[in-house]
Amino acid sequence: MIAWVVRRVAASVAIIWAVVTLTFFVIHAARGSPFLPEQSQSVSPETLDRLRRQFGLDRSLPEQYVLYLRNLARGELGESFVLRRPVADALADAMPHTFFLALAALLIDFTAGLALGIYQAVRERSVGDVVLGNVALFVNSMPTFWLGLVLLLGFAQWLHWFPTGGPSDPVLCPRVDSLPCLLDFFWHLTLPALTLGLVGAAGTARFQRAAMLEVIRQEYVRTARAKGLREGRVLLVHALRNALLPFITLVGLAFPFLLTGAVLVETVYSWPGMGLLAVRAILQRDYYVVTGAALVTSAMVVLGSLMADLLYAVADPRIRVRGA
Amino acid sequence: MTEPLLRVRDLKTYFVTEQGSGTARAVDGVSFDVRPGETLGIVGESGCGKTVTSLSILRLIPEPPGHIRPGSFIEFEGRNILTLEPKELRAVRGNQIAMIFQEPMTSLNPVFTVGDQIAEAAIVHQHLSRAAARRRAIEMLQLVGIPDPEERVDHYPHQMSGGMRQRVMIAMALVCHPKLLIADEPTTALDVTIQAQILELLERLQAELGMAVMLITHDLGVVAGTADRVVVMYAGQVVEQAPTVELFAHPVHPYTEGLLAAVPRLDAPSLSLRTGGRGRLHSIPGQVPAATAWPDGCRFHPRCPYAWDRCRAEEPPLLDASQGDAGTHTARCWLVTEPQRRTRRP
Repeated sequence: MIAWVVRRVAASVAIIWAVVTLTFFVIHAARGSPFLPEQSQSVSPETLDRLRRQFGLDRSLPEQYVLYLRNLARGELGESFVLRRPVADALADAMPHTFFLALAALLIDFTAGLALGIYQAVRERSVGDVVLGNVALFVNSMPTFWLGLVLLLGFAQWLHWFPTGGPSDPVLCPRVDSLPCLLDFFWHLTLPALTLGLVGAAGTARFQRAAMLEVIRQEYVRTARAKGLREGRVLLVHALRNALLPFITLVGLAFPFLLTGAVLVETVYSWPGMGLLAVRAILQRDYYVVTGAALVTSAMVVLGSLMADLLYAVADPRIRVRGA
Repeated sequence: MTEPLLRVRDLKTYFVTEQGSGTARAVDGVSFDVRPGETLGIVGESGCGKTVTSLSILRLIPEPPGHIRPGSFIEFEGRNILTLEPKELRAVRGNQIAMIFQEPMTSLNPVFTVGDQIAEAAIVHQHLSRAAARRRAIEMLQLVGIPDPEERVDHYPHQMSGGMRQRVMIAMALVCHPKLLIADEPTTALDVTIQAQILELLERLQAELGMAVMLITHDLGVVAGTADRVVVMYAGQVVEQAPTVELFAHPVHPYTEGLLAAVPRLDAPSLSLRTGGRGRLHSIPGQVPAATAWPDGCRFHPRCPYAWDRCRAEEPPLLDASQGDAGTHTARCWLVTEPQRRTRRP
């Protein structure tokens, strides 16, 4: 078990390092620089040179890379050229927003997805199953940003039920520090979370329906009925517990999906999370913000899959024994 | 004679086939009784409707595609199981009538400990606390002969062998002391030595707990050693029923005759060393017809060595072939009325 954990952690560190390295070189290879001459015509060449020197951009790329890694080892993520503040601070501001968005989306994804999938499996081939199956396929086929725009148009622009963007009311609630402001935050969160959650839920439902159908035909489900258990207990305890095993894989896979989805949804809804931060940084060639965002994102994905593996061990005694 | 514990009358369980090619009449008018405390053997080839019959008794047939036809009647202690409300049905399942299945590997839930699975029925039916139910589970494991029950109670099914799992299944079925145990091929998936142990265990528990056992098997050898009476099924029907001794001594239906001749025996001349082992094991020619298209007349006639015109035209009812008390031995065969037609041994 300990050897397994050590192996997993080592692999995780290697993956994160690889992602950071790749991002570092790719973003530097992109045309343009943080201080484009044409963007800053009013800036004299001397000033530009000074800025480059100040941020270490006058050195060779390998040199910059080594320097960056050395700083990283000390826990420093560098300085944002555009925001004029440490990257770590910018990320720390953005992370909670993405975290709450992902959490809400995950909640919608899993509760709606599981419930739908189970319902469809139990009522296999009924009208409800067929209709829900097609709706799920339709939603699942929609690009996240497009669904986001549709919801935005429908519920914000036309119906005025929800705000068009941002994390909170900038005038009444610049900070979330009171109950009305918390409600305001949730109100702002609804559409982005729905956008991200519904697309996920549609996929989860299709997956869970298949897993559940597989399981309710198993003999131990018949055994459970033969014992005289309620149908609810047969399905939700004896069948579902087994049908959740493949679902756990989905939990691990959901993280990358949510984080990439967040980039699009955050852009659509001006949600100041990691995704929006990263997109702006990429466009402005804000090198260290981009690599910093990649670092945090890859760490979250790696953590997600580690969590899924551990969940597997908890849920399936057969794996527990083999791993021990 | 004592009042039967279970009376099955004209049970018809049909399945709508996937391709819509018709209705599979898996069980087609089956009637039999199980008396308190007795062991009834139900024998037949694969596909004759044994398992569907047993599942029908607890209404465990998946619907759709299966359904029990109106007019069928399954009476347990005076109540028709087929008309019970779900709640009343649950009170019978696992409590009054329990069931064990053929595959101990797949009939236990892989993600729960065997203790939890045994305790569950006791919690549901007898409202035991979790702790009491756990103690009961340990007692049951002890009863079915599992060593170190205190330790085994927390094990998962995959940590046990096939024989042990079947013991666990039995423990699970008997935890509420049911009046009837339906054992559907309980030894088929097990090694021969383990088979004998499980059968002995069932016999011992039956004597201790005084329950009736419905033993479903394709193996006449299993029936010979354990059952008081035997029901032989073919093509969704009962073709013969008799006390075990009587059935083995005087089989009436040609199908029963064929089954008995097909049992390998070390002392049979056909296989003995004296004939150089050149003799061949008897087999019934042909195969069981499809349940969507049972033959007209007697369903066994295409495979029957004695069949004549009447068998092809007219389906025989269950006829009384008793040598002692009337009705103890019945067979669905015209030979009962025209015994002189039995000209040669198959």
